[in-house]
Amino acid sequence: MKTVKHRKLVAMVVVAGCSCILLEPSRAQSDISGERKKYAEEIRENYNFHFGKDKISTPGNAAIEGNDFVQPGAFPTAEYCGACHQEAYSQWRQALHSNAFRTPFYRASVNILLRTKGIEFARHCDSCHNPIGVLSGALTQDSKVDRTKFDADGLTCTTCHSVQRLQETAGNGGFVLAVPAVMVDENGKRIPGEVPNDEILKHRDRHSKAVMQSFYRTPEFCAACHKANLPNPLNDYKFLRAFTAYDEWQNSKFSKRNPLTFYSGDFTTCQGCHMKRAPLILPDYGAKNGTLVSHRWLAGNTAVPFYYGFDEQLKKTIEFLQAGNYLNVDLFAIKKASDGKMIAPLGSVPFTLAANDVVEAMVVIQNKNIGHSLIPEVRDLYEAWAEFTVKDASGAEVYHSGFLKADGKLDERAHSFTNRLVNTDNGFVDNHKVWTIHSVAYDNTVQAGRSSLIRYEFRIPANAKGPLTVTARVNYRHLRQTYLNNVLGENHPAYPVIEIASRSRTLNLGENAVADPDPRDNPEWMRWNNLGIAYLDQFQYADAVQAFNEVVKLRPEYADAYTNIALTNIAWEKYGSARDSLERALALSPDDARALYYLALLERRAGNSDAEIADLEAVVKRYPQSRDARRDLGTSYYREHKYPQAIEQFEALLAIDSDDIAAHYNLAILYYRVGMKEKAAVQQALFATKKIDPTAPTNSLDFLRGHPEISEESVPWHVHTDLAEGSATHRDQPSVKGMTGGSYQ
Amino acid sequence: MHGLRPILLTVTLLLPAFCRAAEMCPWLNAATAGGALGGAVSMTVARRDSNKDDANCDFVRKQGAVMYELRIEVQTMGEAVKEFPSYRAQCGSDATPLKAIGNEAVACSLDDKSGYRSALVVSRVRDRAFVIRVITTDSAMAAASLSEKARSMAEQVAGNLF
Repeated sequence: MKTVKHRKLVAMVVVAGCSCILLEPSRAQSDISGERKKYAEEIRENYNFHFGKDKISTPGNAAIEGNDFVQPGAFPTAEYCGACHQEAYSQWRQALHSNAFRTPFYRASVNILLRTKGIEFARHCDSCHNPIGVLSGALTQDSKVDRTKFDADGLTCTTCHSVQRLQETAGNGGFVLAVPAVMVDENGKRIPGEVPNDEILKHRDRHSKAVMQSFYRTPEFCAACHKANLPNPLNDYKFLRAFTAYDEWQNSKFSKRNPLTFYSGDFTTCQGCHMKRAPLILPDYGAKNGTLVSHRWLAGNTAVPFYYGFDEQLKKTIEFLQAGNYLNVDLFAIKKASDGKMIAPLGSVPFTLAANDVVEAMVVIQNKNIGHSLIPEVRDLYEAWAEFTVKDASGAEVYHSGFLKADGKLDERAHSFTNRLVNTDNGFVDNHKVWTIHSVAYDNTVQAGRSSLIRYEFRIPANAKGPLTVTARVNYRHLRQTYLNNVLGENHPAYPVIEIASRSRTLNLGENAVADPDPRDNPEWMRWNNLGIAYLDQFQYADAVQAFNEVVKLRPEYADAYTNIALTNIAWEKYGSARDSLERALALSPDDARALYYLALLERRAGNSDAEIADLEAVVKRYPQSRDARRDLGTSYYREHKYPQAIEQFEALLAIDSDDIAAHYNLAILYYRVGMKEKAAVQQALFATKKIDPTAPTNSLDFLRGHPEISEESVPWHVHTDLAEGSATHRDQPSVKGMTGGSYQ
Repeated sequence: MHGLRPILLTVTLLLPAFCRAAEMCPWLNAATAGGALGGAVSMTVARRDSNKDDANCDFVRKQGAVMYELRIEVQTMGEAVKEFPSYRAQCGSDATPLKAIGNEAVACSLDDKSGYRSALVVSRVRDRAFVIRVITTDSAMAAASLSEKARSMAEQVAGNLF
């Protein structure tokens, strides 16, 4: 008897020690809500609620109605949808959304996070990259969830098409799903789970009601994931903005919400560029007039289709990058070191060149028609740079900047439209370990509508055979070579380098006459205007004013030219000059919101509060979603002790940008003053975590000191050259007085 | 009590092996393996003495006399260029190249005379070779289905190796 008992004991020990018989995976059931409840209870038993009770997706924001786990099988598969939507399915399968999770370029980074901090932290990333994984409770230690049901499909059809509403535009998965349904009943009630195709075809209107929402066509829908931040629970440091393609769009001319853009354009949403209608190739019941909105979401990612062998997606992505008039490359000017005179705009003025001349070339890159920055989002991994070559008539290379080295890495001295993220150890944040970011050493991206001036200096060799061919181009590679090496190992195939835009000019050794412009060239006034914008962004205010004055000469009726001079003078603290220019702008265009905004700033400085408020109210009336106008009008009301009005403006500002620290700061004070102490405390806390860490720049400086090969890129004004220091006889310097470093010919 | 000693001795000797079995497979959870094999599975995990970061996992499902098994072998190579061909050789010369399952993936099927049918995927992620083997005695399972299971599991493993 004892033996039997002991045997039982031994058996129990073995079974307990083994624990290797596991639960059968859940199945999709017709009774999804009952099944969900049971499923969620099972998941909750072992789920790592590290970030708080019921916080199932923190530090991400993905949410689902009922705020509880949902079984993966509740999401009808893409193959199921593909039966009737063959075109959309085939496009989606090659697109980034379907590969958002499984791609090695994502996994390599997120795997580091889950190995170093824990899988629960990966909910931050997977709220967008694998929302079914998050909401099914798979992201926990010792998960019992069958991952084959969702890993390979990333953002499947029924994730996006189950979104019922959006959270504030904070990103990181700022959506709220419902349990997926592909039909509603006759009363409009959602019918969860898969429904026979015949039923859907009989009631296509009820299918549409279940899977389509009008806000799917808005930029805010995209913002749910194309905006990201690094919250305190992720980095144990403080809130940091990560990327914000949505805000960049909102500030661009395409949103028609920002009166302060340098140029105007037609209203265009994210979908307007990235989901263009195209003729059907495969049958699809979602088509209209034989066309379907693209479910390829063409953008810049060439690495994923290259890796997966999705040739069609790769071809179309390259076509997309090279198609639109996204960038303008302008070989704007040269200066000979012998006299320092600017010869500009090239093509419009005659000049001479000779062997042994030391020449500075000024290249202006305009982000002309991208609705966000060049380059957006994960710019620590994406790689866009300027390549500049000078060759003589025999093909001999005189100068080359922005080349790829033999190991495939970009020359460190290239002008790259990138940023440099610095970690807690003052080192470069490699492998997209965003949770270690403490500061940004520099950020050389070009915002929508703005321009960047890049300077190259070279000597024309004594034996050079004319003419010289000078070429500037903007190249793009997805992804940076060091990251590709880290992900794939160093012996991987070369990933595509795409030339997005370029411009060449021929320079004779001797006389150079005026030349006809290329059809792709900007008009001359715009060339000067872009130079002015670039100078402004490099804090060279005198040069910027000079450039904008050239615009005035060419287009005296163009009100924005005067406003551009004014805003430069405001930045330069020359308020009297600024007022003169704004008055001329408003004389040409009396209701010009842009000029009124800057005039309001001058009125504030002059103590003309009524005029200041009147101007800003006029701007807000015409541009209710202008964050700048809302922020300044709130400040104006606050200064006048008009607290309720000020609160209204800052609340409106937070509705536009939930991370605006000025709004948090002012609301913390304003709420307190009107007796709303709880709300004040909330805003105070938000300000405290979102404000810039004043010690962070020290990290950046230490990093730059340790990396002299790139530190010059952190200086807004710099020259790329292979010439030894001091070999140029007249290296131009940025202006410090009222005149330019060079002179205009 | 004398009768109990051999049992306890056996338990003591076997316990390390069972403890190994209780360890998590770093490349795949049992639910995912169970999904591929069609039901609940038993799991054993073995670490390599030469590199504790490497691990072999074995998932087995038995349904009556029919057996389904998923074997995962992961090994860090000293020099991938030289060593990987020996892993790939497990598939023989008629292996089919597979896209996007790590680097240099190949797939093949092997049937032996005793009724065991296998689908293999051999690949590497950087300097780590991995071999995925789905084995069954289920004669009704289509070869394509067996191969797809191996491919799907290989994608899961590769993803965790990146």
